[in-house]
Amino acid sequence: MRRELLMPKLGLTMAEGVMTEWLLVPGAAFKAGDSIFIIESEKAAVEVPADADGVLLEIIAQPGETVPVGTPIGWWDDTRAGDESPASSPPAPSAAPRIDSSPAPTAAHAPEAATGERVIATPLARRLAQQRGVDLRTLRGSGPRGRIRAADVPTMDAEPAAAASRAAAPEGSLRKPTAIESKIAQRLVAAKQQIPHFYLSSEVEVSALVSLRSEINAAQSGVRLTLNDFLVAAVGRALVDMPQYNRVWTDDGFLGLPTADVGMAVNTERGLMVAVLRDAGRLPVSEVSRGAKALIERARTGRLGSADMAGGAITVSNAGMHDVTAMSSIINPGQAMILGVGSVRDLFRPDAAGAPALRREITLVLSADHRVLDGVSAAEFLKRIREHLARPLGLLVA
Amino acid sequence: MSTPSNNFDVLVLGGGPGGYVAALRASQLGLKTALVERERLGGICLNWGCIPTKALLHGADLLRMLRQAGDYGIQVSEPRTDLAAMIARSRSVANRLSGGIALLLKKARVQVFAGEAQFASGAQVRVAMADGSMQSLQARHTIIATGARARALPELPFDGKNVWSYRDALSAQRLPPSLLIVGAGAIGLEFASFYAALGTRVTVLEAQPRVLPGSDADVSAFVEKTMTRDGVAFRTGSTLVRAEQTPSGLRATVRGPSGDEAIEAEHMLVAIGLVGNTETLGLGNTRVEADRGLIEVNDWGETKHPGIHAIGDVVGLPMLAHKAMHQGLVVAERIAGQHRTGPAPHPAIPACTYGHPQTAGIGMSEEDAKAQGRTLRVGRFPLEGNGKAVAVGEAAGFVKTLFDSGTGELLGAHIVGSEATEMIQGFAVAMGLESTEAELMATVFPHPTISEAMHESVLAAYGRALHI
Repeated sequence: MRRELLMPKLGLTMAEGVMTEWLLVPGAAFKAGDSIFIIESEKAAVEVPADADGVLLEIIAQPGETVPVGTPIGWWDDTRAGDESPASSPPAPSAAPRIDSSPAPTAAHAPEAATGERVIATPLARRLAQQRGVDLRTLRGSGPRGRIRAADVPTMDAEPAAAASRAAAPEGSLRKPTAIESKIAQRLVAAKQQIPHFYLSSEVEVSALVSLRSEINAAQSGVRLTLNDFLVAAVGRALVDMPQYNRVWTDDGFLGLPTADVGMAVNTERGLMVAVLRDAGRLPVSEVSRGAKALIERARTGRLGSADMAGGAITVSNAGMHDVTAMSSIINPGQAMILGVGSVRDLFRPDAAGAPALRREITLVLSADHRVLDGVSAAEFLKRIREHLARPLGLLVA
Repeated sequence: MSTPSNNFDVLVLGGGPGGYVAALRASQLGLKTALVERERLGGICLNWGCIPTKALLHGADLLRMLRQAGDYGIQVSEPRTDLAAMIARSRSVANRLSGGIALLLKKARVQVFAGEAQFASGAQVRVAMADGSMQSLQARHTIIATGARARALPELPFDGKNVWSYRDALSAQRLPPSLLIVGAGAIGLEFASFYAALGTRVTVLEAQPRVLPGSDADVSAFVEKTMTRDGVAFRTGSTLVRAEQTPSGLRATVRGPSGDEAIEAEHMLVAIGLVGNTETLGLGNTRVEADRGLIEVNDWGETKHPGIHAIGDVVGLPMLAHKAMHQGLVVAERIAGQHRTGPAPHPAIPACTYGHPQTAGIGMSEEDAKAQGRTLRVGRFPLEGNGKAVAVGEAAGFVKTLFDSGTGELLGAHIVGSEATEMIQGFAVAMGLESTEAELMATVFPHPTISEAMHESVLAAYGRALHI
């Protein structure tokens, strides 16, 4: 029976989505769970799987089109016999791929107009671009849902994109990246190329922290604080102490952020994502822990909202569980810093008398955007994080 | 004592249009929100400004219509007015709406503290409650939305008898035979329009060379001409030298382009601007910076003190309720984590006056645009050419539009006449969407409406007007 395929609602606030790519052509059969198409909401690109077997009949929404939630984007056949005439009964809203499918948001913060997509721009921006010889597809929109506004059109000719040199076809098997992999790749390249990274590393003595955590976890059943909770809390406190570093670089200047938000890199099946804990700097570690667990759970089940991923000047990326000594990370685009955290290691260090003393240490590597911080300010900030970790009792209270 | 129940995500100081809207939005976004109001919910706008003046001015419009009823073939006897009854209705409208705000806040679970807030040492907010007790409130974010009040003349403080502020003009119980209004801005002109319609001999004094100094000059000229014909005397480019009490009121000495003049009036309404309400806030205990009563903020409403924001009249011009509401929304949303990238939204703010004639403007005046070196296409369409306006007997007025001649950007729009204040949003939407003349020309306006004059004005800017 011919049935409508509707634009799914992937989050509470999602009102419309952009059709990014059809993964099937009309006539292709699919099984439940197969991805049929990719849509992009404000913050994320999502592969949408089918919840039943069927055949794709017809495509209504073309790639690049913005479509309100619940609007037909295509037709499919459920391969079951039935009334062929849909006129008598309106299509059931469930006649769509399941709408609670796991979205796999990329870490996208700013929608980009990739080549081939329909460009969303205001009439004035279109006219200015035409007058100034600017290709709208090279611009980033600052308006709602990434719409290009007049202010986004540069007054001079846009620089032509550097033509990539094409190498001869390589040996080996070639797999085309998925839309999400492409998006992540683009953003990583852009971040590493455009953000002038520099790195400071430092070892922190964490015996007090480790034993405090064990004590708390032993004393209260049901409570399980992680080292990561303390790290997020310490970074948040440092931002509250030094609000001058709670800022990011934007095209329009330095953007000071109002609250001490801290991002957490979360590894999910669909790739690495950053979930941002609001106002982490003003919360006791117990609240940080609660908030972080909820965010991580949402990230792993693909239920992070766009607001959960936006903002923050810094992310904590913890590789401690993977027996890594030190990790230098790439800054999450839109932020100014990322703190790479290594494993806890037992080491002998000379004490005051020169005798070997056992210490527990972790290595922190702070990657910082040199446009926003210089070496001294980054060192100062890192030192403040270390101080909070060295005196963990203070993190227990708000 | 601070108790857990006095701990909030967002604390709003002031329950005017900026404050209550910020509180409602913050609550919608899941933030635990409280609001402190020292007087009445709804603020000046609802209790002593926008709303009660509109109630009175509608009465003046009705009176004008009754007097013209004969033109429409309806014979009525000369209407009699009762100022006290008009004032009473205006007050009851304000009271009803203020009660409505209380309900909205309650429904949104915003906790309302009736009292006056002050920052104590360490930027701690303390509230002197109306019942005499003190409360300490904790909040991650505080939004100052304390508004503004009428600025007094230095030598002539408001006394409620001869020297009026807008509050006195809104609560008079007897029609004054004569009224001198100092200031021909929106407030001065609305009261001039109202009292003149009822029969008061009104003189308006304005230091600038024209009335509504912030508006487009064509608008000012049209308003001055119309109101003069309706019996209001204007003294522009004139200042008040002194005023002294007389047995029957006041005698003012006014210095104008043609010398000094004595003007006698029973009352004087001072409408020379507003001053921010900051002096009792204890800002010295914060890092908030204020200059002459106005709090300094960035594009996002952030003060110099992290976690303290300010919106509305208390951050400066334009002192308009809808600007405050817009800022309240933006600040609440940013606190909740929205708007983290990109510039602050800064839509054009329309400005309206509701006397007779009504005026509404958005964007630049012709003078502003020329001062910026823009080359312009100016469209002007008189309401005499609009069928609906003629049919209903409201053919006085015009719509003026300003476009950048190079890009077709709509730079400004100005409307005078019937329904001006209800129509300007059409241009606000067009500007917000960055429409050019092409989209406006391609839009179908319903016939017959006065709004067709908006379309014609755009066409006129490009030499394409049809009905002129």
